Amino acid sequence: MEANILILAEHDDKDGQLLHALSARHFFSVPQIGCRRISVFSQFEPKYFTHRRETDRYSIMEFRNPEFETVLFGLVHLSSKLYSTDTDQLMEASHFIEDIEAMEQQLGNKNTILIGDFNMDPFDLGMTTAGAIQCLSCLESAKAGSRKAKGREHSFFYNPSWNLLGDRSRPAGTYFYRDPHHRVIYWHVLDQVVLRPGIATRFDKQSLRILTEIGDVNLLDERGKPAISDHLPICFSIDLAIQQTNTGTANEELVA
Amino acid sequence: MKNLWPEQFEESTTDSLNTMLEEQAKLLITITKGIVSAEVIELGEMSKLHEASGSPDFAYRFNLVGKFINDYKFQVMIFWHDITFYPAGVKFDGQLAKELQIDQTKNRASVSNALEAEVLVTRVLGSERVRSVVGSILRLSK
Repeated sequence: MEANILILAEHDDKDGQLLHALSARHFFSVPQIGCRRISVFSQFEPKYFTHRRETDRYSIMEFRNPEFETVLFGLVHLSSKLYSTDTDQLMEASHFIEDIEAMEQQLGNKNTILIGDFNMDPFDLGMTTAGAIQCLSCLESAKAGSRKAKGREHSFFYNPSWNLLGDRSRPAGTYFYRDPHHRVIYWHVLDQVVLRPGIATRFDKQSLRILTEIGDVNLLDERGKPAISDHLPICFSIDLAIQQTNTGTANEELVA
Repeated sequence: MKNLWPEQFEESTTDSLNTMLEEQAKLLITITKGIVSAEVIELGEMSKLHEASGSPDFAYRFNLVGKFINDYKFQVMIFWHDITFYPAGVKFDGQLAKELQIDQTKNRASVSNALEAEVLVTRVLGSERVRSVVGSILRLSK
């Protein structure tokens, strides 16, 4: 499968080698403003991406192209568990969602897709709590749209990344960490895609997978752990075409 | 009962971080010929609770704004203080904290008076990080 959009975290392409290689495949580099942690390469021209809100940890961009549904992308590289408590991560997620919801309201559009290195697992507080990134693992449940918690309405996201936990299809996560504490899981799914339920109906659940090789490059070491990068990329397809044709599938691929 | 209050109160003449940054925001519009501005926005209650130890009376975020690129906003820093303005706590953008050599595990610093605040604001506004973001907004606004 050929990707249309490639999103990278902590990528340093100072010598332009990657852009040069991608240019041959008709990719453009979307300019960066304030969030230098996240690079976006796309087969769609940069004019279709509008930067809306940024911190150094996230970039909220609108993708507006006449052939496709207008989408709000929230691209993240949130704080590491090594330097943050659960509360820190919860509150950072809450700040992020404040900005996302402000943009949704301003644009009158809830076609929102969040992608990147959340540095949290799907079950962590920041990914499941009302007021933060309130995600459900079940699209049918998320289609309820929102719920009230203590009198306040909070919208749902659908998080298909729950399906990446465990070893039914290897590897068992995107990041491996041998933690010295009593409670450990070793394999984590820190790299995720989550969607508002409205746009999630266009998401191809079967397409979501962790990449272990790209072309002839193996991303795992001899023990089956991430090599090259400490994270493994995820890849998925979503049909954003306004008309139901076979030509309008935008596939997004993330490396974090 | 007799009046226990002082005979009169004097309005504080100390500049808060908020006042300083709002004034600098106006100057930025002039310098960039209206292309880049800045804003100081009050944070919600949850954010106040999180960003400071204890619960500060006031907490704000300082954003750079690109009027001609759909009101693009970039968060430079968050700051908070009590009713007396100082000490004030500041949490910086990660790259800015690195450039200013501020504790990078928390990206935080504090200032204890208006003079220290002015020194800090001077460093922030003159930083490569802020120059770079303003430069990118100028370029993309053409």
